[in-house]
Amino acid sequence: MKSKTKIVALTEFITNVKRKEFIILTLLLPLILLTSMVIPLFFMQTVSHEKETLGVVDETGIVMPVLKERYTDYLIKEIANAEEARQLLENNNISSYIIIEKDFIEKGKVSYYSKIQLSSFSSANMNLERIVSDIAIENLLRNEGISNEVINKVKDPIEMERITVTKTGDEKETPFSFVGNYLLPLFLFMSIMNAGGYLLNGIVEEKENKVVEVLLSTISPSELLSGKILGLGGLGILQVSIWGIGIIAVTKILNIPLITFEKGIIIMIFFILGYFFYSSIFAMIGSISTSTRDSQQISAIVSFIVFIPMLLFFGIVQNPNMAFIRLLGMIPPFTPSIMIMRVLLTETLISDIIISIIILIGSVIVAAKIASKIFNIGILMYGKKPSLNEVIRWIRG
Amino acid sequence: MNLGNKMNIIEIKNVTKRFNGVTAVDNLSFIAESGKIYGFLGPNGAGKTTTIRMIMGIIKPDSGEIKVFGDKISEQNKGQIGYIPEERGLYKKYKVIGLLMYFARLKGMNYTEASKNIDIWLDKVNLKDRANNKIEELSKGMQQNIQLIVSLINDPNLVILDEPFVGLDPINARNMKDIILKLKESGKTIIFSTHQMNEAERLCDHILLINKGKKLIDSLISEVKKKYSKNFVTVEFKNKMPDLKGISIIKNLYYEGNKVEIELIKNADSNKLLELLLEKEDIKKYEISESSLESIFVEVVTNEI
Repeated sequence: MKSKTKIVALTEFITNVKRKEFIILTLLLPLILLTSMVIPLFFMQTVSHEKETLGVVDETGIVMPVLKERYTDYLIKEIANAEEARQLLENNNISSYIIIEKDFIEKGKVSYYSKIQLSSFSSANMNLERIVSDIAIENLLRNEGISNEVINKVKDPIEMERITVTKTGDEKETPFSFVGNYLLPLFLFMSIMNAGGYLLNGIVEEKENKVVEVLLSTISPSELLSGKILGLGGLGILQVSIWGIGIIAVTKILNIPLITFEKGIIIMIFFILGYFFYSSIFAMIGSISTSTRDSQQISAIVSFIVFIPMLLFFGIVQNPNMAFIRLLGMIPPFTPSIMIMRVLLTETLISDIIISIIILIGSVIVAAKIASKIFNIGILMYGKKPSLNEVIRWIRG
Repeated sequence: MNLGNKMNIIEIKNVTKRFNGVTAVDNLSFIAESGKIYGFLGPNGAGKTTTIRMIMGIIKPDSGEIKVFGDKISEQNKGQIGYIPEERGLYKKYKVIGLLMYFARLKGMNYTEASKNIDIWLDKVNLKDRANNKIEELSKGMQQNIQLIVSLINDPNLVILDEPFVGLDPINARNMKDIILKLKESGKTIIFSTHQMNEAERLCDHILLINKGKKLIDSLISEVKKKYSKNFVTVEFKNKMPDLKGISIIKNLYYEGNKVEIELIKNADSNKLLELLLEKEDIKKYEISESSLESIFVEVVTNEI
């Protein structure tokens, strides 16, 4: 590394590592993400215990006693007829009601009325459906003269245990596997976006406060840019290491299986290449922006593109090796995040990993070249934002 | 061209630079010798900053050649030039000492050398007790001084200042002048661009006047004045203003109250005029005035247009 590049890299690293925002992000982000994951779980379990009233219009007379006995998510109120139940719901005396018609078993249908949308997502509602189904099963089978033992077996025939086969052996799936698999890529990308953001702001700031011309009188633009990218990359690695140590500590304490060493290495490769790719893009944005405000608008779009694959998480979980996902893993803006998720979730084909890495390295080289061309010219453009045509001319230049 | 034993610090040969089809610098040639103060003069947009940026290697000429210290500009000899750009700025959040150390290191100084020089310089500009302040906490004048230290920290032989007097109050402008003169005393070569003619007139040994990228004047300031000076005489009469029409050597008259500014025809003798005037009326004051650099500038540039 050239000595001037090293000086820039060290200075960028030291100035940014001392920033309050960096320290806060590094220490608080894991906490915030963890709570945002845990709070919904907490709600799923506790909200149902908060007593609300379920109205029951039971035309059969057999459902009500069983419900009273088994259903604990809501208080239960017996209501004579549908009109009265509707009235009570509209007056908010009850939060929902269920109508059980005389021939509900034959029809195979009961109706649930509530003011809340998407009630099928609540566990209390799912419990209700299961208990009413159980009542139907019990009645049907009992009429056939089947023993209670068999009836209970029919109601709950088997439970599936989910085991993930990995190189280190069999592992039982736990809710933490989800949290771990989802959080890890998220952390890595927060770190890339953070370091990229510092790079972007740094460049725009140097343009805004005109310091860049003094810098360029002592150092070439490419030395300056590579120094910045390396220094801030070091910052990202430090941040990820801190989080990594935290994750290892937590998993050790809670005895949760951790990813293997090989997977860790592959993920780090994608992380580092991903950082270089995105930081080149941020450098381009910084070079053509004239103020912090317009740089932030453009970078918001970039961040969005980066996080799109995160939305595909559930698709990837269902089939990490499906053709579409494999293809997406080879398209540069998505490669790092898709591949990190694939590697985390399954045993990815080694050929896929190698092809993705080669594509990504190629894209990094191209992106860095383009970025340095735009940077060389754009960094001295004060006040006037270049048109797309101009930028293309710079790249060709 | 024989330049004696003076070394050529800067050689610009037939340099042209275009931006988007507009010619900013047009076939410009110029030589700067060591130990002199050079003024780059010209109206706004004349190509001064572009020329300076090309000397600094920040932008490259489309054609022509620039040599600094006898060589092409490179990362090595860049460090030997102290540069203050027109667009001045510093990292606002950096501490004074950290900022100076950063630039000193970028200019190739080692840590001990750099801290020694920083100490000396901060002392020189009375900012030693501000070493641990952030740049944004300093006044504008102080920031100006820090900027100056940044460009002079490694004792460069050539100092280039782009519009050093813009935005300075009279006190800071005087400080700047003192610093420029001190640099000259210690044998440095100084180039500064300006459109303030009075500053150039007082400081420069040599001027380069450019307009629309083309060189109009490139010579010692004394020669410029000799060449472009017109014969002007200011006269104040004791009693009343006599009728001056009919004196053959007078070209033009500009009345100003009790005084009159007389422009003589070319090569006319001002002593002869004095004789002629004394025949008419008693004189209180008779002053042969040189035309200022400013009037030369205006004339040369407007004639060009």
